[in-house]
Amino acid sequence: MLLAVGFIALTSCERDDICPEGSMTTPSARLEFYSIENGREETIDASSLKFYGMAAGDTLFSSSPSSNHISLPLDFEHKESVFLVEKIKEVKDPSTGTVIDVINLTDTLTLKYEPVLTFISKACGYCFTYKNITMSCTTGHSITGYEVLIEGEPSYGELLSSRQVVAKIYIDATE
Amino acid sequence: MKKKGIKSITIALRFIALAVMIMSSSVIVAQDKKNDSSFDLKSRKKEVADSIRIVERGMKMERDSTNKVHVVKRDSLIEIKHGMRIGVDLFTPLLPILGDNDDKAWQVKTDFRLTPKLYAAFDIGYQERTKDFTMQWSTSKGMFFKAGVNYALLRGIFDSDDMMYVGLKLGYSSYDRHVWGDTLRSTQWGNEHIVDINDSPSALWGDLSIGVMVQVARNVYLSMDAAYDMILSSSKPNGIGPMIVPGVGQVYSNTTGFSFSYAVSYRIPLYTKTHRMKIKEHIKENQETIDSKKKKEVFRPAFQSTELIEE
Repeated sequence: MLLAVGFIALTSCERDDICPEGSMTTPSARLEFYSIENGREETIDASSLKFYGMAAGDTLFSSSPSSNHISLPLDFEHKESVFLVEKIKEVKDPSTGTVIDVINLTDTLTLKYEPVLTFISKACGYCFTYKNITMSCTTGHSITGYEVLIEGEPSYGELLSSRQVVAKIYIDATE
Repeated sequence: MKKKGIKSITIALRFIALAVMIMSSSVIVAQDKKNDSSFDLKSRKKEVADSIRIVERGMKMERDSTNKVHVVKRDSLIEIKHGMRIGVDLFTPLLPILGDNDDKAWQVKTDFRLTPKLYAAFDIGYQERTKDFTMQWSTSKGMFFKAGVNYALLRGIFDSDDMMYVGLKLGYSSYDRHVWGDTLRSTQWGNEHIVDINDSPSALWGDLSIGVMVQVARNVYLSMDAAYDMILSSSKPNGIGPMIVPGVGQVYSNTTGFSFSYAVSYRIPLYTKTHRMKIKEHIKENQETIDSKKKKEVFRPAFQSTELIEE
């Protein structure tokens, strides 16, 4: 009987845990877009903006917001990710309404952080999380202003989930 | 070609190992049966194992109408030879052969008789084990220690050192761990990170076991032991809980493990001490013979035929 118990115990060792769906993954930085109209803050569709992931001056990838937010992947091999935020502005002839010029307006958004290799579970393995996140951004071109939310309560600079909002980005609604 | 040869040898070894285990377990079963069938007070005394000597003090027997002894109550002084048993686990080193891998393990089990029923137990061992956890691999290697008590259950306790026991032990291991293989990728940034972590965690666990130990030759014992291990505390370097702990094996949901041992032990007799024990022994009799005896009683004439003649 004891032998049988032993063999059950042994064969049960071969069973593997399964990583459940919805387990933790490496988070992206979520930015939400707002405009200020008549002194009131409103969400705005920012799909006309384009974000370029930059490494050593080269563009690696581009990504556009889906309506009023964007989730930016972060570079976990380095301590910062730099994005160019581009807005294409069409200059129209006031009298005819035809496009006479196209201007590229760009601002630079920089996220600084410490990547932390985080153990999820035996079956799921690992992901990266980020701590001490700070964000800085140039303004005046594609972006009118920003407010960093992740540095304060309740995150204190720690990014664990893609649902956390890193910052509010204010853009000009008047086109 | 050479590899093939080695493989067939390991397969052969596995069969031999299995055969040895089955044979020796049948020896234990046979031994058990032998103990069951023989109960006779006089012959029993002669058969008493060399480890103890019963010094009778008082004996009370409960008899039924047929004058048959059913229960024997003894208040006895028992001389018990206290000794230390040192055993080698045969099962743990066998596991890599059965599982066809490069794991290594050994275990030495010792126990020491404190009272007729209570034994102090101490195990020491080494385990090196690698396992695929789907997303990653992990190797743990290190020494482990277990200390606690074994408490003998049921019969056979006084006649010899044969016993069925439950054990409660505390285990500890500080071991080296290597976790590797998981790859994290970022397609956008075009980089990847291969996880490769070396650390030295430690774990403390409680070990609840049940086992049997049977004397197969003078001072030589075979034992089987199955244990349920519960991790009480464990260090979590790099945020990783216990995966494989030497002495426990694979740990399920960070808390539970099962271990098994099959050991051959040698007893070193140390000293003899007299213990006062109350013993109650039930004498089982075949129901059939009792029935037939009762029948005989019913049909026995109330007086002898010779008496009639005399009247």
